[in-house]
Amino acid sequence: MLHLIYENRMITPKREFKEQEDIIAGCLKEDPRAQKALYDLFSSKMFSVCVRYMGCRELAKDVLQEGFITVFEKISSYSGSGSFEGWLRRVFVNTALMQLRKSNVLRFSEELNDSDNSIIVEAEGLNGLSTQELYKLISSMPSGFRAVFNLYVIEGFSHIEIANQLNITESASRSQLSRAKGWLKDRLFENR
Amino acid sequence: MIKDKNDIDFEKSIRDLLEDFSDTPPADCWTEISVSLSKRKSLRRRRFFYYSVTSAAAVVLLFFGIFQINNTDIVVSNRESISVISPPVIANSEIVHSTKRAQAILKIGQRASRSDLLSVNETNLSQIEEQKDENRSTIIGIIEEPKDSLFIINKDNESINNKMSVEQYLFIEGLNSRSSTRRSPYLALSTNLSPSSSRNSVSLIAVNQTPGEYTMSNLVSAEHKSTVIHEVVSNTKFLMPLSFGAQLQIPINSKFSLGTGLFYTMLFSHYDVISRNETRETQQTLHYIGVPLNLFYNIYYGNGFRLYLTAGGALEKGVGANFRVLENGVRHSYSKSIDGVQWSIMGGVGAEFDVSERVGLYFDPSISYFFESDQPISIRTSQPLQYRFELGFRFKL
Repeated sequence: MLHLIYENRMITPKREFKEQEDIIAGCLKEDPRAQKALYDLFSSKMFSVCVRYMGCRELAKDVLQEGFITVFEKISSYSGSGSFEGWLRRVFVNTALMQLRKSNVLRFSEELNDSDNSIIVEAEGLNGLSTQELYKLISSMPSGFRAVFNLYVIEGFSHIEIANQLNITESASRSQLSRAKGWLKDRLFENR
Repeated sequence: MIKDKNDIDFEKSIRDLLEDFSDTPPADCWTEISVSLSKRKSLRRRRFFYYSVTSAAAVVLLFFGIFQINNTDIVVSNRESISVISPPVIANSEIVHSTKRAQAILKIGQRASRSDLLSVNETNLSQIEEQKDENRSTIIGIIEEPKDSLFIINKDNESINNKMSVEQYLFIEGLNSRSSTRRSPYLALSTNLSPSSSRNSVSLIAVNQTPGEYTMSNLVSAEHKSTVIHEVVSNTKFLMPLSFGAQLQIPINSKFSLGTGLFYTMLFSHYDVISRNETRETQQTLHYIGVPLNLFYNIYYGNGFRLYLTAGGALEKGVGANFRVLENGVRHSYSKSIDGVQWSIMGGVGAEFDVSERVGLYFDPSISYFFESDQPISIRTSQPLQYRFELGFRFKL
């Protein structure tokens, strides 16, 4: 045991990262064990975010890797005041959006028909659908409006915020959301 | 636009279902992230090293550039035959009567000393020229009193090359009273003191004692902190590092010299751990051997005093770490090797006083920065930026 005192640089041997603050502090020091602990803690949740935005696991894996590298390199920019998970999620969402921009799928039509805007899906439509099925359904949405749907419905952004993020107009954001809901309504109807 | 209640319920249901949904990523994902992080880290270190080297080179070149610009018209070629043809025409008639001639007969590659130049020599021109051979060149100076100016005359074009004060000439040429061969290398014997010591106490919390190992955390949530009785669980003290060594200083020209050598450093740390079932005191002594590479730049030289700037770096290799541990009243001692190397850079000023013809006493206060290089914890890892005071003797070889 004595030699561990030296090997661990006179700090606690086999230091464990149990608390989130401990993990963050370790990541700030670029401690690989803390980075692994952070990955273990959040990778599954963030991977589901990536899959929802990217539509397939292969692309989502790339985004997950790039997102974690960004997190480890930019973790000092996390102020510590807000929710760390919220900050983390923003990093992954932004990374996914960057990838989508690169692949040129975030080009939207600004046309908005009145019929588009009136699409309402009732919550009952989700009855009988498991979370896994819903996750797969949203992931399989056409990429054109999948991003807007995720940003609006799940992340809770407003159309103005989405328009700023995606560099589109507010009406284009509304239009894409309506189309996404219409598409989802059709799929839910088919599943009944 | 007012949203329909059904719409709100629908969106909320989806958010509730998917917001915290987890999906296990592919197994090789972390390996790839880990490899990528390692590559980026080593790239960052390499980049930093290259930037440091480039910056240091730029500074050196800048200094050399300034030096060259300032000295374009002053340097007298060693191979140039210089002598006085006739007393120079001095416009100011008031000082003609006090004009004296001085001469220095030098070997090629050698400069005149202050005493050489200040001695008044009535030797005529024919005698001077007889003393010239392939290995010698002659400088004849005219010293005007009280202005104390020196004329260097070029025989070939019989014109006055330059005019400067004797002090200026001596300084620029790197001459002084004890040094007619200023370009000889120096051996410096020095000791280093870094007047920094540090004390860190980790006060808090829970100590989980399990057989064979213990885990200590000082990072608990705020609500837990209020319920846990605080106790000091560790106390780290870093004592003042001690270093001594020898350095060979080789002049590049009259202003710059390069120094390298070997030095030894000892770093002491004291570490106490007190847990509910255990007390342990550890004394750690780290031994390093280092090779410095420093550049010296003379700012002022005269009256047996030299002021200079110094900048450089050092590479140190840990040769061993000794531990003396007092654990629950039982004393153990053991040693370990130290992996890796410690890089550092430094910059400072220095002053040297002539003690005798061949010996100078010097004092170099400086600031050093020790880079993170995975070395055992010490004052250097706790305070990477350190003040250092080097005191020693320089011997002219």
